[in-house]
Amino acid sequence: MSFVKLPVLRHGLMIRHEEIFLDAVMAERIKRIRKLMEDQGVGGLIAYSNAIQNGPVCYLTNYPCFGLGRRGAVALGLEEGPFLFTAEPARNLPRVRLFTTCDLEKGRQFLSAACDRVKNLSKNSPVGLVGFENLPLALAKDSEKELEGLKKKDLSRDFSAVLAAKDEGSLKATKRARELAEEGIRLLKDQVASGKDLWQLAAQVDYRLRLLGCEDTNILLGCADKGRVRPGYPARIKPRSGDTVVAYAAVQYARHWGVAGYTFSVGSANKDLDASLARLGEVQKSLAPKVKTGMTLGEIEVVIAEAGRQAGLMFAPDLPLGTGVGFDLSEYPSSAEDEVRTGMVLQVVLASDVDQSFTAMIVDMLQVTHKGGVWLGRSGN
Amino acid sequence: MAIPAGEMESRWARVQEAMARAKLGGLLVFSNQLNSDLVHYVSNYTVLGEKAFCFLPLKGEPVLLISEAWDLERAVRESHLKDVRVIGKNWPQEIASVSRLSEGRLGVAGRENLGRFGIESLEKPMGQESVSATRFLEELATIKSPYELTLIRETAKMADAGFKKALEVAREGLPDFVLGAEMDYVMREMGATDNFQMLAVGKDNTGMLLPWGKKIERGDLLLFEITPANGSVTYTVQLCRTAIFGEPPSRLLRDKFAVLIEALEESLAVIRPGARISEVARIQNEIIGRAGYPEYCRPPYMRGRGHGFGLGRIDVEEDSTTEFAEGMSLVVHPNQFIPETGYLALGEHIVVTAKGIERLTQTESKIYECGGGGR
Repeated sequence: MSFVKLPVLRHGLMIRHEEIFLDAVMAERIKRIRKLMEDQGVGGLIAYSNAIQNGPVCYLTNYPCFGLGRRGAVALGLEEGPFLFTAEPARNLPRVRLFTTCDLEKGRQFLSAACDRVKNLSKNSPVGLVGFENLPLALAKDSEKELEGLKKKDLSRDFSAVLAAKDEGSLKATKRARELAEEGIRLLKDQVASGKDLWQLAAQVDYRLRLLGCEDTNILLGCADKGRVRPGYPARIKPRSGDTVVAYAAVQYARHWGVAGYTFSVGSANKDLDASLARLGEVQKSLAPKVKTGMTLGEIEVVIAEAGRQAGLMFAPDLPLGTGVGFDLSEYPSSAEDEVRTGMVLQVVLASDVDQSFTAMIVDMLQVTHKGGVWLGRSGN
Repeated sequence: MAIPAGEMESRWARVQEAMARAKLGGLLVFSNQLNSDLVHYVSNYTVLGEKAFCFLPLKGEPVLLISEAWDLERAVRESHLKDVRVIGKNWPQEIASVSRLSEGRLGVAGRENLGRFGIESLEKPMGQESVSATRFLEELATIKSPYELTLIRETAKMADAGFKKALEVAREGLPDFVLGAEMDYVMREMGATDNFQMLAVGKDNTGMLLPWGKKIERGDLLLFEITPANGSVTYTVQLCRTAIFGEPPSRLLRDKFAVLIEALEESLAVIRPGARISEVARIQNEIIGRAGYPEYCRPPYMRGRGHGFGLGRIDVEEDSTTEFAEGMSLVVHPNQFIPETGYLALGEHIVVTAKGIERLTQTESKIYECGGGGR
């Protein structure tokens, strides 16, 4: 469960970002995945991505599956590759190569071509499959035919865990995305009383963030004078003085998502809301040292809920407490049993409906280290 | 724009009548974020979550099932449905319990996107196999209702405004992604819920792509596929245009563009209910081929000569087997790669009427000049 994005074509600035994804970063990623392959006894690996689960192919190639191609596959051997195959029109390939870190292979049936390549790479040893659970039926049938006779091993979960434990490049991109998300919240707060409706406010924030070079945004807003409010698809409602606005801004920069969320009142200050936000802030501070490498997501959720209880706050049961964020708005860890590792970043949503009067919410990102968590936002540490 | 009373009821009635004819006892519609138009068509709910289902029985109202509890209020508000539920981790059982209301064979629209695991998870608790009903729903959605056409006409105004904005703001040194943001903003302010926009700036364009930081220079061609949507991707309009920055078009460019204009106008002239869709592609390929570029009318340079959007999409290709019908909405575009000029864009969004076509956008079909080079 997460604040998921409609995977429309994202048409912000799309570049290679060499300063973030150094050749050494990409080489280290390939090394990590080869280590996984060796540990799992596979001689070749094929990963499939689409616009929803963009991570696997993007991790190894920097190719965004949320672009024009929408789908892609990467084949990797223990000594060769990665080889990138996409559904991109062939005439676009020279330009696409400007923002990928490996060459693109030609061929109209991209998945069949990728399967064929991995057969050669694996040299009859088992093949690791990543993201194949997301294949549409027709592609699933094609791949089964192509890989017939080979031993196959599902490596989706293991791959996701490696990818989510962010390297230097991913952490840089994620932190910049988080800064931009905070900028989005600041812009919303500045403009909320400007007479624009929620839809127009979201449009304006999206525009300003695109000028700063982001690839995409996901602005969710809710507004009411009283009662429970949830961030959602921005409605054509104009916030009025005294209203409470719950804002969530997700920003994609250099293929990585950053998120931020906050509640603010329109016009006059709301002391009760300020007090609740201060309590949420205290909960946030208390959480950082308690979240450590090796815990499961379920254990972390218990810790978050308990910290809320101790502060006299019940967290909204319909909102996600914590989930992984990075290449996708929702990635590993996303299930209660998923183990959290160093370098993973969680989206933490602290939201409480206070006395049926308003909803107080803080959304921040928590980087996991073996010593504890580090909030990426300014307020939490 | 608020959905008028009776719109969804008449849509359900049309689907239910077709279900009876197709001997379907129930219709389960599935959407994820990649194909949200299916559930939107039967529920008026824009999916903002991992997945959503809508079950339509042979008689009566549908049941909407969404995956994100936090979006429940909006789902109820948008759909006006009495029965809207949140599904959890046991979604296959929950969907199966609703689908058991099917009075016979269950059709699943969007079945292909459930994947093998999803289909098996669903069919096991149901105790029966389902059949794909994606094509079934696509065909019904091809003909737009008067309300849907009103939405599409509104979208056309957004596309016009987006192009006008581009001509206004284009200046030397402006990066392509800023140009895109400016156009996007003006259309979003008008209510566009999405914009599948492609853009190319340069002197050697091979096609449309995402913005990559290219700064506008004198003599650059600016290619646009401005594609705003209005609620659902199904209510998308596409406007394809070419502009030259900072100088008037050369004789060569004008001549080559004239070929595209001829291809567009000649192909639009044959469209009327009953005309073959393939004819549009054939005429365009013939005219462009006659101008000396037959090999560039085939892959990898070109494939389709137009298409619809979202649910009920049609493709304008030489091997299309269907015919035009009143109420279809599509873009017709003789966009073309020409070796001497690079890729050129020209396309009109039309609706098929009883006697021919209605052009939806007001932007004239010609090559434009911007940045001080004229109009």
